[in-house]
Amino acid sequence: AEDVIEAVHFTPTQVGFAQSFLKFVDRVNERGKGVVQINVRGGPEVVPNPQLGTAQQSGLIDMMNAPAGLYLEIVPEGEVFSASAIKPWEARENGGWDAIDKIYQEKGNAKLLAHVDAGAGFWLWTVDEPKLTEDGLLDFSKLVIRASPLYKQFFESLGAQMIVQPAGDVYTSLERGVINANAYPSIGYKAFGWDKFTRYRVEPGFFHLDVLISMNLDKWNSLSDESRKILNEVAIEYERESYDAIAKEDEESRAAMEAEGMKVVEMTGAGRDKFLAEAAKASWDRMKDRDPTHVEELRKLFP
Amino acid sequence: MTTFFDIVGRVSWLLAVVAKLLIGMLILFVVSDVLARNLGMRALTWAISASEYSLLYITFLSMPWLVRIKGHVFVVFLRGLLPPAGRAALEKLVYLACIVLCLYLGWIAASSLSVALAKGTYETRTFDMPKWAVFLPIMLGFGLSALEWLRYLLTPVSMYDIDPTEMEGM
Amino acid sequence: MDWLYPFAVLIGSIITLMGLGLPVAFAFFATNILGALLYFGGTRGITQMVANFNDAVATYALAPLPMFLVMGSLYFRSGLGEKVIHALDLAIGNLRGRLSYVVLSAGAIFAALSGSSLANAGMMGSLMAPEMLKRKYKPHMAYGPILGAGSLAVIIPPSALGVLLGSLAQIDVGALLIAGVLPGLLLVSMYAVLIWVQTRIDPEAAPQYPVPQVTGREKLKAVLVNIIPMGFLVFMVVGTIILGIATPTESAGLGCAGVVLLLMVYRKFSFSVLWKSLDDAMKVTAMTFLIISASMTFSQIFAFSGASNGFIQYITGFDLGPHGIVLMMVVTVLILGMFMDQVSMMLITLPLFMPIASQYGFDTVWLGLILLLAYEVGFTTPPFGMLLFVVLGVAEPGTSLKTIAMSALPYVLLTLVLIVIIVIFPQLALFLPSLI
Ligand code: NA
Ligand code: NA
Repeated sequence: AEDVIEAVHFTPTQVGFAQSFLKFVDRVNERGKGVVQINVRGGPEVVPNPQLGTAQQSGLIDMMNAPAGLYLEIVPEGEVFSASAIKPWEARENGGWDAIDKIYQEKGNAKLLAHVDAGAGFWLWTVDEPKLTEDGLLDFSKLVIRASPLYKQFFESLGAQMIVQPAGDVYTSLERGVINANAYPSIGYKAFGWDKFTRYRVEPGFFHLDVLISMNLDKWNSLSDESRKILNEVAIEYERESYDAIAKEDEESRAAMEAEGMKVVEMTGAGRDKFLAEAAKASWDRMKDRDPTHVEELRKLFP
Repeated sequence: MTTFFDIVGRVSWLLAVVAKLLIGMLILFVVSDVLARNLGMRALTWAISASEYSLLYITFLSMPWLVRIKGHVFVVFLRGLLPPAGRAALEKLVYLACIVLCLYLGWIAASSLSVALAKGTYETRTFDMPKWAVFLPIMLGFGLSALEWLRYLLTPVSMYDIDPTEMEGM
Repeated sequence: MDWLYPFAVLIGSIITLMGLGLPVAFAFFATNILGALLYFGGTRGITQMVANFNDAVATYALAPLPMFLVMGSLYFRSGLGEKVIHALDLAIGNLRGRLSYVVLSAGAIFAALSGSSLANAGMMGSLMAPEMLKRKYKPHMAYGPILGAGSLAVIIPPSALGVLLGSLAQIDVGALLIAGVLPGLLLVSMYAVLIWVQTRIDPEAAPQYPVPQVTGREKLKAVLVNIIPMGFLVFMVVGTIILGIATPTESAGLGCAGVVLLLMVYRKFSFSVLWKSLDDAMKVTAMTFLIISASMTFSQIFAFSGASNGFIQYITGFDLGPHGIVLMMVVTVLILGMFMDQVSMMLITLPLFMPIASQYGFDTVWLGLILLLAYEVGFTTPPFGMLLFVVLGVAEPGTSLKTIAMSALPYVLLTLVLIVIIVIFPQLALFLPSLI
């Protein structure tokens, strides 16, 4: 009989990440006619973000499209996806993908299918023109940034002030100067209207998007060989395709904002290297704190 | 039996006292966070996550006491259509349903708590919060509420005759 | 019509259980268990629901409610509130229903400062309602303006819901917020006319009581002594946001600190008053948050079962032309708003509405504002209306939900009238955004 997979994505349907996932779904459903079909139940209105990890683990949903960063409490090692610059297909070649997949199977009862939308990362956006120190690092001492668990420690270690606040407050906070900087991908940035206040973007970007498509392991094992083959094929294809697509979108979003007068400030030399090293270090340190078992092995595979 | 429900009521009251203290703490946290930041000191990011969890504790620790003082809102548009005898029977059914609901959800919370303890799971906010501490107030809230509903079932007190003197003040 | 069965089961269950007298939160718990068993993974869904309680209420965006409740209650219980109302009486003189106007204008000002309807209603309710009832105002003259002003917080910027709507629907957030200013002011004026009409029809709804004749000098003194210091409180709540000292969420905490300071200055501070205020805040907060935690899972199950998507597609599927489709969208939101919170509604409806909007070539700012008004109505429509619950929580014991809902009804109708006006005169919404 035809395999049916119930899926949920992490952003509202109209947002780019969900649209990207729906392309993957369309392709599977097209190629899988009579063999395997993905039935998309919806986004955060169906399963809120913080619960996605456990919903898949328990089998409440069969498949999800979600960033690894959303359920680090289940698989702390998921942080390698944002920390490492390695491309998804390179990780498949050097054995990194199989290693991390095994960890997800053990800890999250999850089978990884693809690391999608990987061709973009986070940027720092500031209200005032940021100054560089002598070694080329940004002067973080004047920055007040909205905190997220993902990068709080990182920016704090560089001397910035972090403020926790609900997403709905960010607009007013930027408007009123409670915060004067923001860290976020370029895609979707304009939708929040934040670009009106943050007129500077800082190069280089940091972290990489860590969006995964994964399945409940028991469901995966229950699929026919043919279904699994189709899913794997489409996953590998789409991983690369979505990488290029999002890299292009990232570039276009940034260009659009620059066309409207946004300025770019670039860190240079030793300071730039320090910035990137600190970003990676923050992630690896946290991983080690939570569970050191696989850290050594992963460091080699996810440089 | 009265003694038993008196003790239950004392415990409910005590949990509500903790909830009130947590509201006070919430205000202190927020004010000191703003002060610290504006005086150029480090913002207390951990205090904000602590405030968030305190909202969870406030909600569920107060739940049994609210059952006791009839503080949970209800409407009665169908109940009003019944004759007095029907209403009396319905009332008991409502209490019974609430007891079953509380026991069931409290039991789910308890088993989630024990799984969380066994696995050592946690949540990641500005600090890692053990999951069992998330389920603890939920389990206590539902468990004790079941007993408070039992009081309505077994004693003559009724939820539907709110006596103004029982809710002091407003 | 696959959706009709889960739609009928879930909505039917919630209405029946609530009507039979189960407390609102427990009616939702029971319906969620039924819904999980039928459509949401059985017991796994129920386990998920319990885990969901934490995500639903342990969120910083909800923190202003208890803090504003403490602030309002401290103010009232310490006797400060009474003095201010006395000063207002002296200053305004014998205008019939003056306290209703005061609530309305204070609520509107507060709406312009805060983005949270819950906090607005909670604070105005605990500040003003007890004093008004003491002066024999009928409930609808006290609760109506509070509910009306509470929902204004969403339309008059800043508005957390407006920001969320803008980002979910890919509408220019700044334009959407500005678009709310004129309609918001118009709504305030319509509400004021409503109060005038209400006191005309039934003068005893807001009885006159003797206000001593005083000289201009004494008036001025009363205002200076009692009302001006209140400006300090307003500064603590609003000024700190405008000056960038605090976020809208944090300003509630500063408001509390402000009242405590005032009480110290006026030598009215005591721990027993503080304790009673915490008690008041605990009761309303816990009741409200328990309902929020229960209703959130309801929305999820409703969406997961396909009931919401099917319902929306069915309703918007009628080919009725541009105005007809806007009408259908508003009707959809009004119906869902009887059972759901605003955020869930937005998440459920916007993905379906926005493609239709672009198909018809609607101005998204215009449509966004219309939808925002429609979402706002859900705050005050029974059986599930969060503002109704909050105000019920601060109301006199024995007040029924029906009384509160009936107080809100004329305000709801005026909001609908405003929607019609905006449909007919889009410029009302679009004029200000066109300037930026
Ligand atoms: Na507002
Ligand atoms: Na409603």
